[in-house]
Amino acid sequence: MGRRFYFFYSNLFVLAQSAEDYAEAAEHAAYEAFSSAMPMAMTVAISISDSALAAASSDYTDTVENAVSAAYTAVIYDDEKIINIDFEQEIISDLKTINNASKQISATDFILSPLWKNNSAPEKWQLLYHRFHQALIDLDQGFELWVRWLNERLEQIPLDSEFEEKSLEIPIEIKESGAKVTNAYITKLIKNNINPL
Amino acid sequence: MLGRKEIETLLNGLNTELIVAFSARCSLRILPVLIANTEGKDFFYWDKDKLSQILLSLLFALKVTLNNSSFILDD
Repeated sequence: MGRRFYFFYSNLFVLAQSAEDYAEAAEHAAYEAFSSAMPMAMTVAISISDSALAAASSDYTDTVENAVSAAYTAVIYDDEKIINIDFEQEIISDLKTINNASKQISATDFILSPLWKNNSAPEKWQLLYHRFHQALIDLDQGFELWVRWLNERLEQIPLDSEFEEKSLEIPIEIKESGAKVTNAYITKLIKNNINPL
Repeated sequence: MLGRKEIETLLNGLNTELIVAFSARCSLRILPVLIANTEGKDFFYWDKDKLSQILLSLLFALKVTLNNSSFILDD
């Protein structure tokens, strides 16, 4: 899939109704950092949007290409020692796991297996992880739910597919009202067992 | 260093769910790197007025990746 450059920001996220829409909204968001002196943030954001594009694409070649881009970003930063976290070894380990012909793993088992070897994330990554979460909370926009959601992923807690699908169907007028209202809506989905009222 | 071509070769031929799961794991690992900078000010590289929406877009992208198929509960 060709890379697109955005010169004006329009809110694709608000209008997003499908997985592909959300993936494109993330790609769009990534380029918001393009004019800054921090290309790393942009590249990381692009990697995340590439993963979503891999998931959203109905074309196998696009899925592979976007997944390659998502992984390669992490390898680059490992190599350049910008953050000095050994992502490459983890990616190699994942690639070995999914290519092990004698012990084929299901996607479920793979996604729910520990994210780091020996179930122990590098100390530097843990520091970034906690700082990232604190920064989300400090925005005072209700991002606490996302902190919990991310922690659950790290603890290999299976996702509730019904809730996940519902939370992707947020009405446009809610998203239009901003992150705080959107996060409050998702929190209501959780508290009221996926019915937002 | 692991090259693009090598990653592509190792992914090609695998089923889509495994490729997406691999991708999701890459995203989960790299997400906190968004906060890494040498300026000491969190997220300074994004417009303050747009920041929450940008972060929400990226978190939803991660949600889309993880929610891609039946690999969560229904596999």
